[in-house]
Amino acid sequence: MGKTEGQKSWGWPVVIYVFLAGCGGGTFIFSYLLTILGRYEPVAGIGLLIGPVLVGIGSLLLMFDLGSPVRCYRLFTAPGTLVSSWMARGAWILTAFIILGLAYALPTLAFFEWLPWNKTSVPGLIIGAAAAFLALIVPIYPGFLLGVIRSVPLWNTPVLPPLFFLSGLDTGVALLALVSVVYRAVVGVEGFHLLGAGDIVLIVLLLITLLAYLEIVRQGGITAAESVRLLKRPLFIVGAIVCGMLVPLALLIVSAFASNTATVVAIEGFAGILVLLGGLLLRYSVVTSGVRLAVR
Amino acid sequence: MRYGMVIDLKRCVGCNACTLACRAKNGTPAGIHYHRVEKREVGKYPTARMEFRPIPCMHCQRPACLEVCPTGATYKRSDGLVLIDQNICIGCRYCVLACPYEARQSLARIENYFGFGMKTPYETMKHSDLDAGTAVKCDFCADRLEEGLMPACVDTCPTQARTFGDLDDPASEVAALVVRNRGTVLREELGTKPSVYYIDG
Repeated sequence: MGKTEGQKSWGWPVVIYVFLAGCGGGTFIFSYLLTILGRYEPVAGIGLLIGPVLVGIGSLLLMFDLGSPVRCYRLFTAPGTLVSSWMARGAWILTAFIILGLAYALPTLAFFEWLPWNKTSVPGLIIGAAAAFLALIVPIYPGFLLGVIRSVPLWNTPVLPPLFFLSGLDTGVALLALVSVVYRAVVGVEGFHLLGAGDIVLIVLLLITLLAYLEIVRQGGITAAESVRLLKRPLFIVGAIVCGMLVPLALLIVSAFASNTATVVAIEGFAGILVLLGGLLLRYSVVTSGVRLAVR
Repeated sequence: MRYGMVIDLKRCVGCNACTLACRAKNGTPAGIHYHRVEKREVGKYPTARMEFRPIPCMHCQRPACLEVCPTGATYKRSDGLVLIDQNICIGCRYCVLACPYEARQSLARIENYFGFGMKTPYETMKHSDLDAGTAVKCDFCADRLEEGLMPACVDTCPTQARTFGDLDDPASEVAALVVRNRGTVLREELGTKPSVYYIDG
């Protein structure tokens, strides 16, 4: 038996991209919901802008991770590959989301007031709905990108897309909480409690999904078990699970019972930073621990 | 028409002449190999022995690499060969990950063997066909096939462990060998349908 090591083909750029796709998509979804409900306007407006910007940064990272970045246009010139390749599909999904997301968010800025639509006009509503739909797909797509690779059992499981999706929503709420810290006067204790409640539900769902993922994948064969053993490093256990999920969960539950604005803001802000770090470490662990199947 | 190969592991002695013939013919840069021989111990004392398994590209009928390729750089010819168009590949390495046989490598840089940045004339000539930042792999020596020759590894093998031909032709030696010796493929459960068969030792 040789030494066990994760795949070496995809590294940090892909890890950060998967994180930013989840976080950006999640931020956009919740900002869109707030916009539709007409609540916490400045936070939602900034969230709508942050979403596509983060996804754009992630996509640029992927582009420069290519062996030949100047040829990246070729992702769009072979529509036949859409039949089978998730990367080809993803290229279209990401591009469409970045364009539509920005188109929806930009008219709020004074500099872009000349654009012939806004969030309440009919074209604006259509653009917003389309962007929100794509924002749901953007955090899931990396789960399919990795999940269809049969030669890496740690990824080749139907649990991966929901895991990335939930973590994406979770980090999206966390980022909105950080934005709310800046606009704490507008958001108020009630708003923070709303964000906190959403995050508590998401963290619990994420923990259940993560536990199911680890336990079920571990039973999937020698390579899968080796991957899970490799995955369970202190960085993952302490970083992603304890600091990134359990501690924020406890903090958010405490803050749900607090009514002092300064206390709630401090706790929610700190929990938000922890959740974001945890989301990044979760992606890092899953991407780098993918052990390839032995050839025979 | 489906080009394929049968490798008789009872004959293979693990000399790696195939690996070297491949390097010599293709002039592969340092760190890049289109062909390798994996060795492992099988059985238990006192009947333990070494098993040598040469691994070229399997030129699958349902290639995992082709499925994931987002640009159409990987394509399958009607004669069964799975090839990469070096002018289209963007170097995303999705295929490198997807291939269960680790037959593909990412050619990040084209490096020569002898240091000092000086390439031999042969290396210079061979490397001019390659494009840094793309995926590379065994092509069953497509250029030799056009000239009516066998792939370099097949011609070189001193124990004649390798047989090459058209698997779709029942009268061919490869097809007969597969049937007669119950040829097996690697990782059959993944459904890739490889065109390289092994006769287990």
